Amino acid sequence: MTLVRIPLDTPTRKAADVTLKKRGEVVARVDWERFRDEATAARRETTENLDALVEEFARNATASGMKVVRAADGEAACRAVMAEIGESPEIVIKSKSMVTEEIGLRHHMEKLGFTVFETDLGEWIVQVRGELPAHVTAPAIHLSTAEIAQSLSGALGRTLPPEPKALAGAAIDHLAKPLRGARVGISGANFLIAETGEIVVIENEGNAYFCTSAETNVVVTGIDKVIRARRQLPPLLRVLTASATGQPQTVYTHVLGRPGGDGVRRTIVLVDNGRRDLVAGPYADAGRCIRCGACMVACPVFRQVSGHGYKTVYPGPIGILVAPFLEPQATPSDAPFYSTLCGACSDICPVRIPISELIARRREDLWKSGKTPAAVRQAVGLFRRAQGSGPSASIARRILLAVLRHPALRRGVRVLRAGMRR
Amino acid sequence: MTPGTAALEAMIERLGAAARESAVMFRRAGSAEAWPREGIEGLAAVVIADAIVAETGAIVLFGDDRRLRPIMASRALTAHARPDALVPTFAEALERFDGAGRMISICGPSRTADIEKTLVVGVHGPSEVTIVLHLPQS
Repeated sequence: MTLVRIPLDTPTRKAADVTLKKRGEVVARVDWERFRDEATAARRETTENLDALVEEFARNATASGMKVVRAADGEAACRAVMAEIGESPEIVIKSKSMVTEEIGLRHHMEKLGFTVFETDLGEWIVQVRGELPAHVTAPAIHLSTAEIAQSLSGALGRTLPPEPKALAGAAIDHLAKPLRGARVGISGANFLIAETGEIVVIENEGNAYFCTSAETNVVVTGIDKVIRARRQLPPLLRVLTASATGQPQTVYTHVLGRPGGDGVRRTIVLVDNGRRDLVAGPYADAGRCIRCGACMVACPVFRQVSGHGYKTVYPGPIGILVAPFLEPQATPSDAPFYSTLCGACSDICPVRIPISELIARRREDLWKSGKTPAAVRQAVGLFRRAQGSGPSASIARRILLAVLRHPALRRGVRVLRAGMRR
Repeated sequence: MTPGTAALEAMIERLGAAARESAVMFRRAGSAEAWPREGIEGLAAVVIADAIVAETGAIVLFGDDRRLRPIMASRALTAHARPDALVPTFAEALERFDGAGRMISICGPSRTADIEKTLVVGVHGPSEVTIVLHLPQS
């Protein structure tokens, strides 16, 4: 029998371990459960009053001098961005935004002849490689330093050593000029405050500052980022940064208020693209997500397959729940089965989304609507038959044993064990 | 509003510890040290902090990008503050922001850990950050 060796030291696993360790240190120092409760309550208000809060945000942001555009879907959002920056191709700088990945904004702009620089280091690395980010806050989590060195050497046309400091330095040099000189900056948002019309962006590198202070700044974000009040922001930022990177606070927290007399023209494109449907249905709890990615680093499946295994922009446990709404075309029909239902995601979620339970519900929905993948249907049938008696049950049991002893499955069991060891 | 002496001392102590953790250099101004003027000289920026967060060692600035862009483009940032700028947490700093322009909280040197979680300090924002606290001379 072939032994399948499972590498336990992949970049994703190592990075996940570092993040979980740092997160644990922050969590131990603060009244974590209280912050989690406050963050959950704030986000529950969002999913329960989404339309009213978006309306309030739009009104206040408009009154403060920003232009607000609503976009029903990805195509409308891309059109809205182009309407703001004009048709003549130029250099555009961009800071990290999952929503722009979701709507394919960069590809849309590149097709029109624009030169788009992803200015977040991890995001630039995956841009150079032509990949999707492998994690919502750590785009290059799946790559080793050697792989990154190879990709960046190719992009910059010179040989770079496989050392993080040298690689980051080369990227910083490459991005510094467009970052300071580009006329158009596209950014995302972490939260939108309804009562003030303010936009909140957090980051560590300083690139998002330059993108949000370009002459024309277009903020592209989902309507679900809205929160009711400013006082809900501090607990949300605490749980977001601790969960995403294990930091007590990110290096930069930007609160964009009324544009001053400095000539920055700011437009915010509020993207629906399935979000209203998400919060209106049985998976509304998943609409609370603040995109920290903690469920990913805690998940035994994600830790093994990394983000690209899910084939959607939003990977991991939460991706299984939100991708069917935000990117239905890309979501594989067997996505809810990329889970062991171990519950690690529900346990770690800072806004208490019962992720594992909802994934189980999704499986049930698929089963009831007859959309369960054939392999899963057959396996379930086999298990049922094996529980009975008589010759057909005995045959079913033999087939099951043979399948369960198959190397591919042993591999799955080892992945599970490794996940549980944490 | 200046906090009482005991509360102030506690906050300063907290700030010192937080600054160490956030890789922020922190010192009390010397008795002969004058209150500076905000400005940029070469790669160095000197600013008057609108708030300093004791819990994290963050420097909080309000204003428009004419003020903030040169600061964010500097390499070495030194923020001067008097006790009335000290606040316990980010929440109190946010309360002080009147919504004009933007608020930025700067908690240490710019950094990235996007390559195998290895910390690299000094990205696009300042790579050296210092807080100087000016206390009334007694």
